[in-house]
Amino acid sequence: MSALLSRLLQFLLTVWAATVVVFALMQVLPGNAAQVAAGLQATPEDVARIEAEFGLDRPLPVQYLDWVGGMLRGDFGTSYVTHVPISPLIADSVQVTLILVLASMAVALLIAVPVGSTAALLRGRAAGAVLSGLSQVGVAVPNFLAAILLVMVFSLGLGWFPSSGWQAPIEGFGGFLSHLVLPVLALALVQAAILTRYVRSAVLEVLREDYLRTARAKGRTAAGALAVHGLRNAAIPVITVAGVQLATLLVGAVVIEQVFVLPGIGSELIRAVQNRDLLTVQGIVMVLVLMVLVLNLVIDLLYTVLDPRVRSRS
Amino acid sequence: MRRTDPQAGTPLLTVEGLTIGTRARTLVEPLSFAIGAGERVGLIGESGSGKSLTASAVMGLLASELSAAGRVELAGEGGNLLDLDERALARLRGRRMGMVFQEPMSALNPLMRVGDQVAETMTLHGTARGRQATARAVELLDQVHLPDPAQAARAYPHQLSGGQRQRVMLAAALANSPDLLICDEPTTALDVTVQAAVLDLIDEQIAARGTGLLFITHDLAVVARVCERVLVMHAGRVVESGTVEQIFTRPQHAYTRGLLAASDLTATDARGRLFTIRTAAEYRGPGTPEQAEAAPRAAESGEAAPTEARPSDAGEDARPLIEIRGLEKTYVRRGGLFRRHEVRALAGIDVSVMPGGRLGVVGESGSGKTTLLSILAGLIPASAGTVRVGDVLVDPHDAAGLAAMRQDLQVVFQDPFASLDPRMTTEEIVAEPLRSLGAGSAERRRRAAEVVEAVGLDRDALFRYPHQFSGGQRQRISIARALICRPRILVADEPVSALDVSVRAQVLNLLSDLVDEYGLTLVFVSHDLGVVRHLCDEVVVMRGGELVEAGTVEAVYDRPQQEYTRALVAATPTLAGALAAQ
Repeated sequence: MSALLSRLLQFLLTVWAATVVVFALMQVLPGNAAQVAAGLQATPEDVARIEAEFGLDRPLPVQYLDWVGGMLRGDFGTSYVTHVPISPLIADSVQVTLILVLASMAVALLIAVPVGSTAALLRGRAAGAVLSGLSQVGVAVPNFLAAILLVMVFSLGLGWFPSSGWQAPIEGFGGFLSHLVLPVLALALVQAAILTRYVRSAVLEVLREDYLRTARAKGRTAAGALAVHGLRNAAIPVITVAGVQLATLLVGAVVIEQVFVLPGIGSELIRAVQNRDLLTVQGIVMVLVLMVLVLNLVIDLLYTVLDPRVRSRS
Repeated sequence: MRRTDPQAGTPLLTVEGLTIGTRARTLVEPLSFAIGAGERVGLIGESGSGKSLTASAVMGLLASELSAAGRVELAGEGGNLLDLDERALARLRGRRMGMVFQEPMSALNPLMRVGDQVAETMTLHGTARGRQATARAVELLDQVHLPDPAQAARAYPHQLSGGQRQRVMLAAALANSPDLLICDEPTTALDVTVQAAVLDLIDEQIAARGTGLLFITHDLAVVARVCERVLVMHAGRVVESGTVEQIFTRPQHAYTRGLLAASDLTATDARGRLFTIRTAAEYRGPGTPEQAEAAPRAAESGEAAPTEARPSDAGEDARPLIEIRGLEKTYVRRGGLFRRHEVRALAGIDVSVMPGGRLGVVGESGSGKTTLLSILAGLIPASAGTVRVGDVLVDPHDAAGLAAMRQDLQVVFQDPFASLDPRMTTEEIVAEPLRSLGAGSAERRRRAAEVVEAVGLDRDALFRYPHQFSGGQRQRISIARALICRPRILVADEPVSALDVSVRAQVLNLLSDLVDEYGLTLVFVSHDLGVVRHLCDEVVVMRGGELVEAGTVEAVYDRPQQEYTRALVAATPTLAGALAAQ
């Protein structure tokens, strides 16, 4: 129990440190937010007026506390450039990105676990080598290239799925899914190739374990022993990697959202950067950091569920 | 208690002309034996003799790159087990044949409660299900004498000790009361007192069920204790078989005689050395105490009378060469961010060794003997107390002091496979200690050649790599490395426990010779009381970080003062003891 508490405390400390780093980075950037917002022809008076309006003339610690305090209330402030509140924009786009990333990870695991296990079981045979080879190729393909190839084949060629755009589930679930298929595949296929290699080596490792032999000595078949005793043990190293890969997927989503014109947080981030909308960039980066930290926390808690040895170490 | 006529009726297990091999070579030559219902058969041999392969073939658990031919029949099953597919074999395993493996640490699934792992044997074969299987599992855990079996059933493997895990394994293997139990070195990884208890348990459980036993081990004293009949395997062949009494008192084959002689640490030849396979012809058999008395022990076999050979006894130098005072070591384990709890590995140890003395340190796992040795060698710091070696106070932070000390004190480690750098030649490995002493390359080469010869290796061994040597040869390399800077003290941490019996005798003889020849002071750490008795003249018994008893080998072994020492001595299997009990 105390391990759980200390892990939560560690999480909170990391989040706090992240807010400091993100805030500091934005201050270090060259250029003045008010100057940017005021435009090229602005007089020093205009800039001063904007600074006063957005509170940019206050001391930095006060600005920092104001920003963090706002976020705690769910308020990311108002954009200096578009004069629109930032929170609703983040809330909408985060949903899209989360759906994209989590669906991609799920699809990647659905492919990687059976393919990786089969590749491990077929090691030394031609079929196993083919599977390993395919996963090698997959690792080498960047996901934007996968996206373009998928669009060429399934959208432009076969016309099965739309090439871009987003439809919310309430506007029709079928449309929602068909818009999701290609972006998810673009992210998931590459991810599946990477995870397949980890699953394969984790299963190979587990296949050598004495307890699989014990299970067979008790009357399990070789395949039964792997399914019942092996896979859960193999899951532990795979989950470690999958956790790290989720962060990679978030970054990949930024690119894929651009390719498929999805209104996700990646698209918003790029737009905000192009508009020099510093406060929006600051808010989105903070949300991305927070998502990675939460995912890591979830992975850590998953360990405790999966592995009794971690549980009793506390 | 034991069945007298195993030959009556159809045997339980019949193995005929069994061969096992890879595509390239044969590992087990045609092999035939039978086990009667309730009979206990031992299969003995050294590593690589094919004994474990034979057991795996019977269970249908051979690795996929190996194949078996011949006939294996189990009474009541009709047909050859070797022809069955995995599914049909799986139906037999756990129901009619159970198996217990060597490594209790890795043989259980770490993520599954042990009660479920015992119940699995029953649910798989439909002999019990659900609640009933769980209840049966608790009953079985009770039968193998786990304390608080209901609680134990809910434990995970890492929460149990090695001996407890092996009891769980046994409960799982016997859950369906199989007709045949195969044990592959079931007690090799256990401490002697635990080994004795587990052997008793196997004995009790199979007697209660009338189960036949195939017991695989390299340890002759263990096999004599458990089995009625013995097969001796060597290099893939059965060289001899017969009753325990026949094999152990009137061995016919030279290899059997050699194995027997080499495992008998109480017997020595005319020169006071342990028997090896080569010198086994003179061996008179185990359990003749007069002979053990009459033959001088290796430790006393120097040319001069032993009492004069020791400066300590001569009274010229009464100062101990090694002096350990009030040594304590506490490890701190951390959990989470703020938790810490302390583990006391050593709780105030006092030991001294006179120049030329041979001190044995015995104790079971967790007794602190390796910690003691690591502090003595300056590898880890002590929490309190002092260690003096010669004129140096050992302190891991004092680099100059350590350098001086290491000229005097060298260590031979346990695992000859892990302790040699695989990418260095023997010459580089052996000469490495000289580098830090600043010896030139010509001198290094000359002395490496000298010392490699002294440990009985060929000169061309100098240019080969560790993987090209056997375990015994590697341990010779480790000894050569320790001796090259001509230390006064040799510290050995279980140097023969990873070696086969016949090789063990050779390495012990070598150590004994070198200690005499170089006039070394020896500190010898071992869990094996027999080895220490043979090699040392003083012994300290450790338990839980404390010294339980100290004294001369004769006093401690023959007239132990402490209950723990008595239990330890009694639990150590000896050929003579096992034969007497037969």
